[in-house]
Amino acid sequence: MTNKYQDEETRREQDYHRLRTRNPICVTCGYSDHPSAMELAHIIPRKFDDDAVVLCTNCHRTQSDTEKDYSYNPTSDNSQMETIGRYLLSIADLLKLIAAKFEEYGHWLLEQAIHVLPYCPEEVA
Amino acid sequence: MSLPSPSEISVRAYTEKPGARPLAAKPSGSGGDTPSPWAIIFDCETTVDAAQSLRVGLYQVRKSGLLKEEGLFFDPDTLDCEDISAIEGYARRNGLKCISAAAFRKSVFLKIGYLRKGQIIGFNLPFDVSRIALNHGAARGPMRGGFTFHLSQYKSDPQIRVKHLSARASLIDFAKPGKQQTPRGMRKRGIDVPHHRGYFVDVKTLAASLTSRSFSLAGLCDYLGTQTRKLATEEHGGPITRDYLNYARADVQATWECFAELERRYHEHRLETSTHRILSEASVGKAYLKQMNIRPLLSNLPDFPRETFGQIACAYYGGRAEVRIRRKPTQVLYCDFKSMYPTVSALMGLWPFVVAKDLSIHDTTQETQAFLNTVSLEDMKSKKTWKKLRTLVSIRTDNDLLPVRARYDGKVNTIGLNYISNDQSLWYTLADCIVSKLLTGKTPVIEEAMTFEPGEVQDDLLPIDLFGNPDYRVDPSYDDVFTRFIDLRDEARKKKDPVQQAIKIIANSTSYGIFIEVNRDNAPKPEPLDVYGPNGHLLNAKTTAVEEPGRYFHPLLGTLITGAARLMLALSERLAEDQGLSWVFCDTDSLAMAKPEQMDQSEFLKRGQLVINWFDELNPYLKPGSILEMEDTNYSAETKDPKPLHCLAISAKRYALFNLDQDGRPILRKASAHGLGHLMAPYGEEDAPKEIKAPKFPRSETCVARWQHDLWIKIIEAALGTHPDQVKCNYHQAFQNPCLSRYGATSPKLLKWVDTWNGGRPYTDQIKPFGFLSSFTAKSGLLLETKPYEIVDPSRRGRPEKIQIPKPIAPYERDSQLAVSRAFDRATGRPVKASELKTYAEALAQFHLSTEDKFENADFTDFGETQRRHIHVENVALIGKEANKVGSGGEADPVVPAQSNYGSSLGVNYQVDVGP
Repeated sequence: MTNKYQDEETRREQDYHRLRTRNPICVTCGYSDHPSAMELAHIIPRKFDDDAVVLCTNCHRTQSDTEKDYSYNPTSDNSQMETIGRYLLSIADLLKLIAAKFEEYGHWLLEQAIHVLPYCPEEVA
Repeated sequence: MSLPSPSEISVRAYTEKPGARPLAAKPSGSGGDTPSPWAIIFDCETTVDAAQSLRVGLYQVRKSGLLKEEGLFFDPDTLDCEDISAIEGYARRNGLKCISAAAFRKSVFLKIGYLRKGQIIGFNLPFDVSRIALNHGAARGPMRGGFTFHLSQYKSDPQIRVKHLSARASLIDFAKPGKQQTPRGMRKRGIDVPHHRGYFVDVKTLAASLTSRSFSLAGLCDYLGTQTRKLATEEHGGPITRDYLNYARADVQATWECFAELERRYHEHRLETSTHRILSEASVGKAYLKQMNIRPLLSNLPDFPRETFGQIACAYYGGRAEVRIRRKPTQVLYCDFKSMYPTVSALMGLWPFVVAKDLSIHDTTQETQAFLNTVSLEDMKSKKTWKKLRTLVSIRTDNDLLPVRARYDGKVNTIGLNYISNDQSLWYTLADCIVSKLLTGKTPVIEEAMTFEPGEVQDDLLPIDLFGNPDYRVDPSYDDVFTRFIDLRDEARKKKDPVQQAIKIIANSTSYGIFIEVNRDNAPKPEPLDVYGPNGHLLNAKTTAVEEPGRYFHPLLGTLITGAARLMLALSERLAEDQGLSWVFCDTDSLAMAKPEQMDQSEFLKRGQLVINWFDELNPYLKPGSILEMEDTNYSAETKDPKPLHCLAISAKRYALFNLDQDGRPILRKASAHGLGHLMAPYGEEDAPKEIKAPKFPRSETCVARWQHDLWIKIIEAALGTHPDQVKCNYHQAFQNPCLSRYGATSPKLLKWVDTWNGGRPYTDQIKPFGFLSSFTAKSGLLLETKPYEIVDPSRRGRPEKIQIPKPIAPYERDSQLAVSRAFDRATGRPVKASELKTYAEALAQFHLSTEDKFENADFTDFGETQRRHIHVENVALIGKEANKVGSGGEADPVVPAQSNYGSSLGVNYQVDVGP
């Protein structure tokens, strides 16, 4: 548009459009505070497959770093098997990030358990 | 004296662009097709002159349905200071925003509709988009034939493209702006940012798609029962007042309420297809097939032999519409078949073809000939026999009674069931051959027959619950969906569930049209096209009418369904004749059986009932009864007892059904507006002639407007009287006015007609796209004014000058006298005088004598039984999709054939243009 500066609502709509969802959450760390800090990340390089997930910028950089150890294009004669293999490896990398988050959260819960009273639904009601 | 029988017949060809991928084989979309929660609803009020320029508009901006902003916009060029201050004052008092049209385009329309990816909602959206545009041009690419509208002087802002499809629907989208949208980094990696095409929702289109009816905004508000109704105003074009702005504001609110209600109804279908994709009932049908995960034929079999498509297309004919007893009032029993197309589809077992992975073809020449040799009327009573009709046959006809498409009147192709002899073999459905045998007793000789068998059922089909109700579950893998829909409708009707009407629309939209859908694109200059006729591939054809098969194109289904429907009609015709009855007319799925003069009324009803009962055994549905049903018009509206119904049929699709009162005067029950619908009403309800009684039945039952009702009454009275050929249109003085048609400038080609008018005028005063035009009919032939006769004119030599008949049009004016005074010849631009224009009386003078050229004894003054023609074929022409463009010719004949002709199947190819 000729107006270089778009208002916040417009910027948000463009973020949602870019992320292909109106409820973006980083699949590895659960970040959801601001869509402009989130990106649509290809699970494997798009020359292999176009599937993508939403990641926050930090997680996207972390995930992309491991990708650099591999080729961005199919290199073997059997690109189908290579794609599936790369896909599984990328999913495994993502799951590792998720597992690390689980581990971190588990430790945090253990720490909190010392200080916080147990949850009692009747009292809440 | 009828016209001689034609020697050239036409058959349909299958065509496609060389090397083009069929639509069905293309991906159906990459997702991300959901609009944001933002929406803009707007409406424009215009000047009442020819230009219909924007004066003031109102808009609402909503987010998730909640009103966020409401305002007015205006064009200062078309308003004076008082009007502007009235608008500003109104905005101030009501807390509305008030902006210029330029600000509206940029900071509301483009901001919400383009940047925020919101829905753009309006009633008759093309007209409103055209009003707010800065300028326009002809669209290119896939939207060619449409318009491009400029909303800003900057190329970085998108333009809007609108392509008119029909009176109910247009394609609308944002064109790609001239600004690079993909960042450099992505471009380097070969990634493209998909362009946002916009989410345009025309409420008129959505309403027509979900209800199968056309509405005005006022009518739609009444139909949907919205809280806000369209207000009435007489102030168009006058000074802008508070009442006028209230009226305009209510329009926008009513449009929103109608949209919200229609969207709610659409969401009840629980389809994934977004609302803005729904352009017709067929869109709903396709959305259902998509929901059931059914892959189209050309997606499963992209390399299906096109030669076979050519053979199938050759056998394709539409519904049968004929008149047997012409211009003679006759007592009838008017019946129609229950859901004809789903019924015959179910009887033939065609659903497996829809869900099949594959399609196999078997040569069954001998078996089919043996079957045809022995088949009898009684055999057709068995459902098993109908399963054998999935066969096409090639025959060299020898006085066989088959559908024949020809230019019987020398101008337009129509289809008639006639005796045909042809040295060249052509393809027909087996159902058509059975018709020939049952009606003539002679068995056609088959040269070749091919029977189609569906392959295995597709994997991963998904069952659906209609309207989320598990009672209305449809499983495409196991159910015959054609019958299931009708059963569900019967069930819903029994429960008095309001979804019954919606189920009817789903059943109709999935049963026929989508399988024979061919989209035509008018190219600016002839383009090469692969043409497949009955004899195989015809090369080198070039045409401007480029055709593309639709997504669910399956010509076999369309061909077999219409063929079987013609067989159903022929069965009822034969049964009626066996009972000593004749018939007055038939039209696709209905038949009016005629009572012989000497037959007793009770005997007539008894024999008619026997015909109806014959079809009991062919009922494929759960609800018992015959599939041939008596229409409500056969009964008294008060007592519901049978009441003698009479019929006067003039030609195909031009008929009237009526009762007689105690004095023998006609009371119209139902009539056809065919041949009248293109004319503007010469008078309205309020100044209808006193001498004709007001219609007893509402328009929803009679199907005609008041003036059409009155004309039919006069035609019937003449037919019942002593001078059936004379129907004088002198019962209202409006018939002496020039006869007027109105239509929109819906394509650049049509808008070109007013180049003479627009030339030299500023843009604001020009007639714009989707503005209305008035069209007149010029006098011709004997009605022309003649010059004083000169016995000898020594100054003239050579061939006499050809009289040029003008093609008169005028900018649309509410005042018809003003429109007449502005009439000009669209070919030369010269003004046309009122005396050169046909009046309503002159234009309608021969309506009651309309010829049925496809038959003999059906010329103007002939009456009684028509006779089938005997046609000896000398040439077979290959043609494209049959489409009529009503009114676009602006001539006396309202229906202009828009049909491509690819040459003859005998090997002669030539380049042809098409259309008006």
